[in-house]
Amino acid sequence: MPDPMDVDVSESWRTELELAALRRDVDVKAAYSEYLERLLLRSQEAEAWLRGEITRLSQGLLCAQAQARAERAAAEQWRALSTRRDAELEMIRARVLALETDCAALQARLRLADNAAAEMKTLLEVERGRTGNRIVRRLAHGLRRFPRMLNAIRHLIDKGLGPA
Amino acid sequence: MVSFSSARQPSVSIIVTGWKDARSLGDCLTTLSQNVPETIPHEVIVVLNEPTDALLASLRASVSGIRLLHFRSNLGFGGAINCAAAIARGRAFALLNDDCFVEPRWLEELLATIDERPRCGVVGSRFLHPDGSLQEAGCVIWPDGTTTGVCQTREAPFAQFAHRVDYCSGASLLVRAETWNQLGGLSEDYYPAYYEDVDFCLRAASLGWEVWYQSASRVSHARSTSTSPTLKTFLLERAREVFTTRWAEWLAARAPVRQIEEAIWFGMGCPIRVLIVDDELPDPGRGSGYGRMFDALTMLAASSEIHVAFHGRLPPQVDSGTFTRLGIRVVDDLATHVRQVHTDYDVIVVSRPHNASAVMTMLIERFPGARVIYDAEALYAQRLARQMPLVPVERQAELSRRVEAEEREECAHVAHAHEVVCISREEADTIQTWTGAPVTVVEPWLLETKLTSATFDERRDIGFVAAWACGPESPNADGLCWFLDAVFPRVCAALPETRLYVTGDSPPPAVLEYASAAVVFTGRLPDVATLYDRIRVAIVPLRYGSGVKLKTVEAIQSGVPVVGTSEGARGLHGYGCNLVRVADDAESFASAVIELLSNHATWCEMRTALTSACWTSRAYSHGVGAWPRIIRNAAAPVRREAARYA
Repeated sequence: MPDPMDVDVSESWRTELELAALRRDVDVKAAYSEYLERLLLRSQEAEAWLRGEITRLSQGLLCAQAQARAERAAAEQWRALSTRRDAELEMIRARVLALETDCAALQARLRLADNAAAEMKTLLEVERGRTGNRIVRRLAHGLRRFPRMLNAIRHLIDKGLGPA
Repeated sequence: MVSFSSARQPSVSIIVTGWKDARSLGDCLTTLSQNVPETIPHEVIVVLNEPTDALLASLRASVSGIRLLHFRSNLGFGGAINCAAAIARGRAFALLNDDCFVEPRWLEELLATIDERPRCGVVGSRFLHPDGSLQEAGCVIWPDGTTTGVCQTREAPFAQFAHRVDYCSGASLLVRAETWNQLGGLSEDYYPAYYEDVDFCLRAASLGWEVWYQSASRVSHARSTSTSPTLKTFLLERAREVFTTRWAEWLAARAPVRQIEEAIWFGMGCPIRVLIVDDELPDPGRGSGYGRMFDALTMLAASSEIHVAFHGRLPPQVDSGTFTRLGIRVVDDLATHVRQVHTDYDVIVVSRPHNASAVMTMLIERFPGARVIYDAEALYAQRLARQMPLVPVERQAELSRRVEAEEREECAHVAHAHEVVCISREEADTIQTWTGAPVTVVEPWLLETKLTSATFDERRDIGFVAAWACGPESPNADGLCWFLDAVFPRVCAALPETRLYVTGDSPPPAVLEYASAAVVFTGRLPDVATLYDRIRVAIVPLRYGSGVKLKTVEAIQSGVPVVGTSEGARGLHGYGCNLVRVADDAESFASAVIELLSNHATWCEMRTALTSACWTSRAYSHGVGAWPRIIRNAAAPVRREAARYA
């Protein structure tokens, strides 16, 4: 007994519509099922691809880690070498400074010796003219050697091999 | 119990669809019963696909007066609605999903849209989230066939006014039965759901029907979760494939569209974009030319090929919904609006000189391609000049300076504008002497002629209609005081029982001092026709002014004989010598009023002269009805230029 609220439509019409709708519904459900299968397949492919990617990336990570370690060791070596070279450089700088100080002292002494030689020469000329004795000759001999010594010292200083 | 009284001859058939347990159906029907008035004859058809027994039992127990159609299998959205439409008897079908809860005026606004727009075949609602925020205001279609509901912040302004759209969601859609039958209902190729509404709206448009979004019709939409996201994606994609195949050519034409604003504009039918600036949103009852602007906006809004944005420089005194529901965009903040990147206009109309002084230069700089129309409304300098003889000598020098300044300003606006519109031939001639540029006259007739029917014997007394918007120094105050001092005593001496009725909010104190048994201040009347239907004579005793007095026009179109000064009748003498009895001195003014109050034959003769003309027809052909043509003509060069670079 239909409810008075219900629209009075022919049952055959209704059934025909419902059957047609059921057929369409079946088609849609089949298409949806295929769609879900495609989605599943695609998700499986995606999963496989992702796994491959993860493996590749893991390997890459390991390589990168090893390389990083090697580079870190090389850097440590370089840092140590660099520290030693810095120390050596410091020593060399100190030696050069000392040589420069010595050179300055020798040059001062050389100037004093030059002056003394000039005075002695003058004195010798005076004495040679006055006496010509033995003492004067010995002095003259000493004076002849003195310039050679001075030249030797000058040579050593020029080569950077002056007294330490 | 939710009950509906199904009309024998329904105007609208409301078709509510639901599927399986349709859990919101009860609430949906409750809001329908609360918010669809009995005054609209309607029937409610509920159509259910695969309803559960519990749903049917609950429906039968709690609802009466509906027509129920239910199917044991799923006929799909289109199939179910098509079956319901086959038994529907209305001249329009309102489709509603069971998860939509209608708000007050939902149906009235949809119906009004198709009633006011003969080419509108389909109209949709504004959808709101349950929290009241915007969900969807019409939809756009992208070149790839995907769609977007207009709902984001940058698009929100487009939700505020009615406009044409690509399509509206079928969840709340009103369709003319004629359109429905022409199209053969919804396509069932999209079984079971989605894209039927998109396809339907495009098919309607292809037959010349317009598809509208109506901002004033609102539904709260819960958005059903009865379908899983995966199934929904599958159905959408499946339906989109069908749609893109069927509409490939149409979609190809959409290819240039990139931005949502462009897509919305395409959906609107690429209308001519017009920006109108005036004092405020026009309230026809407030005088001051607002009736004229109201009619102009109404005319422009009725044209689907023109889209109007309106900016009032003063705060609105009327509900902006009056305009937005007609399709007018109401711009509150002009400076912000014009800065928006996608804002563009083909035509700009600025009304009255002070508004032109404030915004015209800025608008010309911002929209250099737009055609600018200066709507003179009335010549303000002339009005001041005519006031000169009436002010004390000590004020005349100052007034003279104001006249010069005003005229300089008005001249500048006329020179800046591409076109000028004014209300009378007389003012058009004056303006033409300034620049030589042609001036278009839009005659002052009102769109609506409310011809009153009372006979001479059923009427008595005199009426003066004013809105007092211009304050104590208005020409109305001056004119009425002159009438009450110099004319009315003469009238009362001859006809002692005569009363004068004066309308309008807040008349100035100087005027109110005259209140007496014979001088009645009515305040603002909801409908001024009630006054026109009881008075024998309307007076317009103004001594200065400019333009055309719309109160004179209103009285003429109401069929009430008018006595006025030359100023009161200004601009109207070209339309027939019997429209207004003109009298400029007190004695002749009083004689004219007395004659019309007492002489049946004279009154009838003048009434016949007023009623023999078809003012509404004239308003459409030569009055505000000319505005769409003026806008189209003005926009033509801009559109041609745009087409060259498109």
